[in-house]
Amino acid sequence: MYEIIFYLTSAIAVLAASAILIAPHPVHAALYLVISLLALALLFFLLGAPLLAALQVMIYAGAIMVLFLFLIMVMNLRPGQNQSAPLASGWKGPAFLALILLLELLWILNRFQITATNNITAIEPKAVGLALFGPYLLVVEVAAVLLLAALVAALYLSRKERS
Amino acid sequence: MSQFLWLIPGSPMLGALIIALLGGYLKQRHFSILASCAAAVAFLTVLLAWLMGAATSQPLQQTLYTWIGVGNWMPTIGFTLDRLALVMVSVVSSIGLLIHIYSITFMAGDSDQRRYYFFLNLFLAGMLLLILADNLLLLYLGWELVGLCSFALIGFWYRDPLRASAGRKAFITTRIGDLSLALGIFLLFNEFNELSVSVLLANATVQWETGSQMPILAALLILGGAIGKSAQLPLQIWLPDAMAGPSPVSALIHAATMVTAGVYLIARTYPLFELAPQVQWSVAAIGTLTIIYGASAALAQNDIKRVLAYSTISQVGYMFLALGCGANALALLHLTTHAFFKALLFLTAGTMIRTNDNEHNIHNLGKRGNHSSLIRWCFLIGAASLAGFPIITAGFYSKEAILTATWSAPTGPLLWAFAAFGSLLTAVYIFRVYFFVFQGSRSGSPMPPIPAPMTWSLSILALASLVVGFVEFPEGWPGLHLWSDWLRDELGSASHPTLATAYSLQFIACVLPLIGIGVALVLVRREKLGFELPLAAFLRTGWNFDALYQIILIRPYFTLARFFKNVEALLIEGTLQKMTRSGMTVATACRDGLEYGVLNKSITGLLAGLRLGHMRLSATQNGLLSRYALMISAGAVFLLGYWLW
Amino acid sequence: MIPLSHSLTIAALLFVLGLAIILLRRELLFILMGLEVMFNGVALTAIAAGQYWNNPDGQVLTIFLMVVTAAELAVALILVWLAFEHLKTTQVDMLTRLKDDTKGGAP
Repeated sequence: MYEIIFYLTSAIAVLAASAILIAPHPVHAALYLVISLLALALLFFLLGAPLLAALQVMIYAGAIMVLFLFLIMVMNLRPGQNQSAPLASGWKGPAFLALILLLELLWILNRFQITATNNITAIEPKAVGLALFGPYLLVVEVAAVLLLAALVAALYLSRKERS
Repeated sequence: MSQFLWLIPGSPMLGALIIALLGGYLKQRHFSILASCAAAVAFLTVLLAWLMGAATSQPLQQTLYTWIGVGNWMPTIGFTLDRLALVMVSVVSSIGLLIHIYSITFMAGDSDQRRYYFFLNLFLAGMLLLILADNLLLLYLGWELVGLCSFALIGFWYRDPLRASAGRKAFITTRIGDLSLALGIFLLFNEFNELSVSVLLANATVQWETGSQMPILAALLILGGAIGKSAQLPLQIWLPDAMAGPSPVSALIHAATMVTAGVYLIARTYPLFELAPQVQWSVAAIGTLTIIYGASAALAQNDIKRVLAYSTISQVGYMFLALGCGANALALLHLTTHAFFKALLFLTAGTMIRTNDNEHNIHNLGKRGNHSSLIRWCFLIGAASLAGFPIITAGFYSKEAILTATWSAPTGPLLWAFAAFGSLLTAVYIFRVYFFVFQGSRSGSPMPPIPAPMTWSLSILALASLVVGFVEFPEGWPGLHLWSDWLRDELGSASHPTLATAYSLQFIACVLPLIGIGVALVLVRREKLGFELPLAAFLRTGWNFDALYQIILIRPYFTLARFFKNVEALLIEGTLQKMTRSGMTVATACRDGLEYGVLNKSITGLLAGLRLGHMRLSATQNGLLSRYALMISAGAVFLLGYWLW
Repeated sequence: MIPLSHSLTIAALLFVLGLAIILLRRELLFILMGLEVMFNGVALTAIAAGQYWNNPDGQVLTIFLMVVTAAELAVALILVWLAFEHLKTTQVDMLTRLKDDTKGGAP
């Protein structure tokens, strides 16, 4: 049962991601992205990371996607208007490159023979919290500074132009 | 006590940060006071360390923070105050404080005091960090910090292109040494997986055999770094030009402290040099050559600050000579006395230059004849100490000790002869300056009064230039032998010659400066009548080293650069386009003249080829984000594939 | 139980799909979405590997990844909006202001 759910979810995640590739409308693409992210959240949960699953839902599927949708709404993008075909001309080269990358990654996985099976033991949020505020405390502070910097940059860029 | 160690480099660092970050809220005159207070805190902390008995106790240690933690390797921000470091921090912080105080009036009129005091404080912090660092990584941080500040302060008046290029010259020349030091540190780390100085040296003495290849290589690389910073042959060319900076900077950085960083580095890692006797001997040889070089070049200079610069090169040579003979404690003693009398000389020179409308030439300074008696006495004390005037000056005790210690080193008598000749030259060149500037001086127009901060710092330095030497009386004399006894445990001691030899050597060391002063008197009298020294032009340019480097290094480099530029120009589209355009002009002319001849066809063919090349090459610069992303990922994929191969 | 290599394969698939989106689509918004997919592929790698060694570090890394993504997106989306406002387009093929001005000759 567990395996079925896992592979089904991963299939959904991958398929939704590939749907973004060919979706003509930005809103559709954003919705496919939400689906992919939610599927990933489930994968995180199945891998034994409940905290990250919750965070994935809240931050990615919640906050970040709202930003995307909001921007699409403000810009009022429609297919056909200001929009190129889903796959522009000359798509073969990049697609070939991506394929080579995939083969290379699979080759790496194959070469290092990671055969060990994943004996799922959930790592509780408590352990993550202890790690965050123990050895990684300084990095947490740096992350806070980074967020502040992003906030300042966003405010600066979005200010009303003073002529 | 040890929990206050961080204050020594920390307070100047804090001062620099405050000046840099909050300087906008302060007035011009506050910078000097703030910077001086920061230096004073560092000095008082060192004083406190003395009072708390740091001189006799075990080395003090403080670890502030684990800088980087990678596996078992954890370099820390940690300080060690042993006796060697105690001597160095005392010299650096006391002279640093005096020069900050002196700068208050010297720089009072300058409009850019914020930058000046920022770099001065940062320099002090870097130097103290270098001295106190308990591992080589932190030492290297301080090393680079003082290099940066030296560059910025030499080119302080950067609007003058000559001064700016002097700063660049210093930076680039010392960089060669820095690279060598960095390689040395890499080598040591590669061998021992450890950068803590004490552990490293202990491991090295256990694992490496004397005279084997590794210690020789390591010691050579470290020596390279020391040579660059201490302006020894062949990397000495930056120091004379460094006199373009303000005089207090010359006194602090290019006489008293930074140039001695190389001496400190060698003294700190001396067990490595003992494992490599050949390198140790070459330290002595380099020192000896530099003594002669600096003293002879100083003999022909007419710019007072350049005389002092060459004299610094030559005096640091004495320290290297002592290090090469294993007399580390004596090198340190000479470092201390030299710091005081050279700072004194620079500051008196700076005062003279300032009160005489920026006049650097000793002949003109003498003609004006307008010097207060304080300046005259201070310069006389400094000069006497530099020349090693017997018994009453500090310079005599340190220099005599080094000369005597040289005798019993390998090839000692030869080294001794050169060093003794150098000491004769020293007395000649410095008293040549003294007689030129002060002899027959008549008080012309009333001189401006010297401000109080300047008077104080000059008097303290003058006093120190006289009495510091009394801590170590010559071998076989009644009196104290505090210095070498105190440092013996940490730095070892050199072998002494027999007492009879020592007495005769001491007698010669006493007589040489007196002869030198006499020679100087005669020389000045004859020079005033138009006599030129033989080889004066050669000596004045510092043995033409600049021209030599121009020929053997800089010109080939430029030729190479020009060659590559031409190759590049042939490939780059701009040239292609130019060729296209000129081809078109020629084609038009040909069409007009020849009307579709063979010539025309071939030219249009060439034209089409050029245009094709132009289009192909400029197509890569199309500003298309997706194309750039494609190129980047193609590169990444290719690299990954190559790695997997 | 799921072998680690399967999780990693899925992560690799997501990463390559994200790259394909970036390379093939010509719309700034799509490129940003592709970036998100790539980030998520990396996050899956970190978490799967963390679970494999039974170590919270993988999750910590993913949290920082989210922080970086959030900071990057907040700025990037505003830049997209500014590009749209000033240049009236979000097609990357139209945004070629940085192109070398070949008509004026070499700079």
